[in-house]
Amino acid sequence: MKKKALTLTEVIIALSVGLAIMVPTSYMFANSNKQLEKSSNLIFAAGLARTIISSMMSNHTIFPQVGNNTFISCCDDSSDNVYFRYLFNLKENCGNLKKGLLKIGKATSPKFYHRIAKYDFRYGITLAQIDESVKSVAVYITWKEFGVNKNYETHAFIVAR
Amino acid sequence: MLTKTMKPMLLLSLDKNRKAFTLLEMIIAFSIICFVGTIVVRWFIMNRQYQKRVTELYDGDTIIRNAIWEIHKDLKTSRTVIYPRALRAFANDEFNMSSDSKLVVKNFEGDIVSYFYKRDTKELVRVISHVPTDDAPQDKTRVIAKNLNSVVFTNKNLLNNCVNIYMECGPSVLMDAVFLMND
Repeated sequence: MKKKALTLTEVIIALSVGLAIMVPTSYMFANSNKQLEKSSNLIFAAGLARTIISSMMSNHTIFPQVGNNTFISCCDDSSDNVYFRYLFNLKENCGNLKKGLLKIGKATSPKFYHRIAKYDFRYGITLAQIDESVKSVAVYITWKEFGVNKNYETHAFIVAR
Repeated sequence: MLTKTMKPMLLLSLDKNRKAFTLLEMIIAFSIICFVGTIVVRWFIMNRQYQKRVTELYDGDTIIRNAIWEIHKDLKTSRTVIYPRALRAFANDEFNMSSDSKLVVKNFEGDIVSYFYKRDTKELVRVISHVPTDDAPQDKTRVIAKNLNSVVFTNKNLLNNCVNIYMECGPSVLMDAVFLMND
């Protein structure tokens, strides 16, 4: 029986078949990771918006309006962002009066900071006066994921005390 | 002296029609095998990493969501936060914040509901202490989440009607808040 080696055509076809299997499988894994990140970001944004709204509702105070489509970065440590920093305390400080608020930063809360910085989470607040005591507040959360701008908004009525 | 069996073997090896691989052919073949092998191995490792990350992220999100949902159910119908209490020492909101890995609230039925984060086992435990009118107090303990890396409950409001919850589980982090309907 005469033994025959593989021809170039056969080799090319075999490689093509191999690539045809590998490429979609790789894409499938990458895509499922992307989809999961997207849903995770949406849940994260909803949590942030709920935190801002809850804080305003419980204190009966409204944070200053951020107008003209200006959104403040959640991990901006400048004095402009003072209201966002007041909202959270990611470390235990119970009973330690001197410690007070622990700011969101790379050192104090690396995972939280990393997520906010990676997707550039920002917040904006607009309000409309219903009457003297009731105000309609809208909280917007924006972020960028995989080159696309995303946003989440929620509304609440705040009664001034 | 060549034996009878060795003679045909020697003749066979000297046969001009049979050709062995040259060094160049071997080098090229090995290079191709190494190149393709590297790509395939790298592809497998990359896919395993992706798969691990996807699983961790999914598991982390699910654990945190379920835990927060449980806490939401309790807190929404709670009367007040017993611990941690916001600090009255300062007029400024910044210093009123009080945080801990424990949370104790009282609900409208008079039960005391507590959440404890156990660092050693990385579990979040819910304990409800029911005080019946004509019997001894009854405690029910249940683990509501496992594998949590961090849990922080914050009460910054002197009215004790708003709790911020921060959780970390694997690569997942979530910040949420519950406004108690105690008015």
